[in-house]
Amino acid sequence: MSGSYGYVLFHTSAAAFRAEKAAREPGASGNYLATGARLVPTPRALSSDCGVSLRFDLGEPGAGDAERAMRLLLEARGIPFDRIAEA
Amino acid sequence: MGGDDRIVYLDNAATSWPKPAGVADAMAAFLRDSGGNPGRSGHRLSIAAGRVVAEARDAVAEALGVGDPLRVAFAANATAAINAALFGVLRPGDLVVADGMAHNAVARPLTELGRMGVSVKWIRCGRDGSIDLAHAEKLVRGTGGRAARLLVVTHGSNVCGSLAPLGELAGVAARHGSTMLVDAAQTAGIEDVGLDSLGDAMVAFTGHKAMLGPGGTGGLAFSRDADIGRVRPFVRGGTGSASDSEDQPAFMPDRLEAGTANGPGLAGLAAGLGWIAGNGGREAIRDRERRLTEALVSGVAALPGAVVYGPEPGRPRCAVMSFTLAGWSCSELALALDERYGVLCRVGLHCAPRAHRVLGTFPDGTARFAPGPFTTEADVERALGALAELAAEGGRA
Repeated sequence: MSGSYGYVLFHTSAAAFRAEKAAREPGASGNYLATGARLVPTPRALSSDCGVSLRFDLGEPGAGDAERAMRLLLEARGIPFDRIAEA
Repeated sequence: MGGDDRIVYLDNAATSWPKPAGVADAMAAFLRDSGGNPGRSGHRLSIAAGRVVAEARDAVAEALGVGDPLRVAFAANATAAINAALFGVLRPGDLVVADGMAHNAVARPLTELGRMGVSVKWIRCGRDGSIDLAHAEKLVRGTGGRAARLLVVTHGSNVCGSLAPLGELAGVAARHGSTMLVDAAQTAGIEDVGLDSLGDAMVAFTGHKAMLGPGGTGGLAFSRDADIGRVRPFVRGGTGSASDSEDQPAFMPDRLEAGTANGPGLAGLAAGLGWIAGNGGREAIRDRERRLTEALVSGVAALPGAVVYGPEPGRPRCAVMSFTLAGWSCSELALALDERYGVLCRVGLHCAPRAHRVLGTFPDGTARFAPGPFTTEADVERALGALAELAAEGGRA
């Protein structure tokens, strides 16, 4: 399943919980993110300040740019994050 | 609500009681259902606990008027937050200016900082608790080009209920490049703070008074224009973040939140603020409490031998009023009110000797009535009736 998930990495879990809430709001996060966004332990392969990351489904190739949608959502809400990675 | 109908509780300035039923329920639910360590582990119980803390952070940010919830750092209480701000910002040689209505949560740390070489100046206040703004300006401007590093303001006096004009004081601080620290222990959750509109400002709040949460909750919040980097962490330790480093993280809120959060307490705090939002909002509750307070002020003032201290009727105030009754010492009065009438209040110096000096009630103190959201007009009538009987007895000083 390599490459099927995106991970938003944060400095602080306080931001991670805000991001999770924003991503799960109905209609707020676009069709790409409304299902499947959840907090998970940060994968060992991705270094991060924070022990939890927001995992989201990158979807099928050609289905749309989920990573871009996530980035726009976080920026619109002013939620600080470190970076978005795939794993 | 669990209230005993023989009790008239007028000590909401010490802590609000009763709490909305949902507060205890939320605390129990946290311990029972989501008792992981918030923000530490990645498993479901830790994440459930973290969501509760995030909900409390969002609710506090809304209540204080700060747009970014990550600028709210939780602490054990307002006192811990004030200490974090004062010891975090001030250095020997700095000037700090505070108002004369200060609680000992401000006065005691400033006394210690004075011993450490910080220059501490006190703003004059009128006998009604009002701040002398011209004097504030003069002190904050300082001398020799050295303006105050911090202006510390008591938003609502815990003794007499006077309210400080935060907007005007923020203007004073801004004119001289000073940071404002607001002690909002008596007001946060019910009075307008508007933190993001105050320029470079911090607010210390408690959760167990007007926010209707449990004891052991509170914190320090920063306006969008505040430079958090100026606050050196007072407590350092684990945050669940940047764990490869032995330095405290620079980012908020972890910078000021070392150690495990009070999860059950913050669950209760979120429930308390949720109750306020669901019961007309803070403006409606504030206006009702203000009417009850004004009724207490006018009712007590009409009694023979009674003196009421603080703002004149109609002037800005929070839900606190203070008085003395001729012939009665405060302690005897409190005992008679409790034992004979079930009226509970707080008497003495209220941890604010400086404020009592301003009011002219040091060292004997005053009796203080503070209604809350569950206080009724019948409660006010009963308290006034009890005082009328005690006034007629002539007392035992």
